[in-house]
Amino acid sequence: MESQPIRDERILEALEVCRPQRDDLSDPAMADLAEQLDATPELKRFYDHLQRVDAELSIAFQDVPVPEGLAQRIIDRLAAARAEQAAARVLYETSEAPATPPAAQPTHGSRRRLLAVAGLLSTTAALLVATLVYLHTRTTYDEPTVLRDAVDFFSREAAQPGHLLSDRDPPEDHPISRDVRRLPGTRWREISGFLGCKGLAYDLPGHGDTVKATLYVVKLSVKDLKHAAPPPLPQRNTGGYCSAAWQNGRLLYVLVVRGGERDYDDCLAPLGPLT
Amino acid sequence: MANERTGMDVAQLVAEFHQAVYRYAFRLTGSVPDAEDLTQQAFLTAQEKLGQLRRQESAQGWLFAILRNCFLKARQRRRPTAATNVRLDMDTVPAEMPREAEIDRDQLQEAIDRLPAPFRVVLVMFYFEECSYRQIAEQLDLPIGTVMSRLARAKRYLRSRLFGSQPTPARKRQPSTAV
Repeated sequence: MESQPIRDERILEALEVCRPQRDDLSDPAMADLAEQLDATPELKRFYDHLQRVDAELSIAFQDVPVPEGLAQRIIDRLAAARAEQAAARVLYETSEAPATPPAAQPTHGSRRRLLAVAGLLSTTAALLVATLVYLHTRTTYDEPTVLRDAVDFFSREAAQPGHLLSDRDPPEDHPISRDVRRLPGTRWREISGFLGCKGLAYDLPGHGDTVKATLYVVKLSVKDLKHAAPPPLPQRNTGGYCSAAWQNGRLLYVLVVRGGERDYDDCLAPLGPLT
Repeated sequence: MANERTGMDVAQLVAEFHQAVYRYAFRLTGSVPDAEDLTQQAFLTAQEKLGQLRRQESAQGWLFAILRNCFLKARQRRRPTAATNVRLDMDTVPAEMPREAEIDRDQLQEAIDRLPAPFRVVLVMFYFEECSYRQIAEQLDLPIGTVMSRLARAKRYLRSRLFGSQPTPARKRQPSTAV
């Protein structure tokens, strides 16, 4: 005898979500399903079959290769976040804390003087800390650090619109590199905090509203940077990002691309004919 | 700095759970860079809120919950996907039992990626975390009926993408239903 199709959506939903090994079947919400399963062997076979399919799918869901070096990159990122917080706390405390304990019931004049001195001291302290941080960051960059920090910066940036390169020229002191492909829809915007510097970022468009690569341009000299133009292969290719850095006079160019070598190559301007 | 109750610090959490968290993130986001970003974001949040972890045994579930929240918050900031884009076939359990090796991993992720985020999350909680529908409802703070409906539809959709529509002993063909 041919079975009748199950048309009760509640039973069908229950059939899909119920997991016998979790005692879902003894749940009062599953009473109707349990009754149907007892009464209909064909439904029971279907249910058992579904459970096996689900078990196979659960295994498939777990099957994801993990990128190499992921743990270390997470640890580095956490350390960087802690360092940022610590620096921010120092700046906050030096600017907020009074220079001396307040004297008991100062007069208006002495309070003003106290506030002025405290303000001066805290400003000096903040400037000193900022200068130390600035000098430290400016002098310790080498090629691997630049590449790593650039990818980190790229991955943390929120989407920002910027100006279309075709509509508005960027400031002349941070031009886009001639070696980077000028894709239609390329945008530029101002950045700060990139390797401790201000500069410009050129966003190369990907599919839809996404950015597939960003070229960062800042005034910074990096020790031992070998290239004066983007190398044919990225210097760093890990965790789904490629990056390369080159020095052109006082300007440092860092290109960060989502994807692999082919995506990187797509972002470079095609070479002219060999002569 | 270690959590006083569990004695765990964030480095231990990373060492022990980064692979599971990344795999979960990949299933939710569908891309390697986004999964890595999401994983790092989850551990950054975990570092900030380490004091909230009550028991060492629940560390993985706690990290998964952080990850889900990060994912859903990020999705809320983007343009929402129209749920009606997903059409579901009601009759999609393969007649033959698929072998584990036969489930194409790319096809699986492609199917997951096509689901709107609220459906994707319940599906990944069901298959990846192996949560029951009640646990999903509790963790997402959703009515059980909503979870049952989303999960059932997402599962059918997944099978339709992976195995196509095939007749089954207990079901006859029925018209397709939109989410």
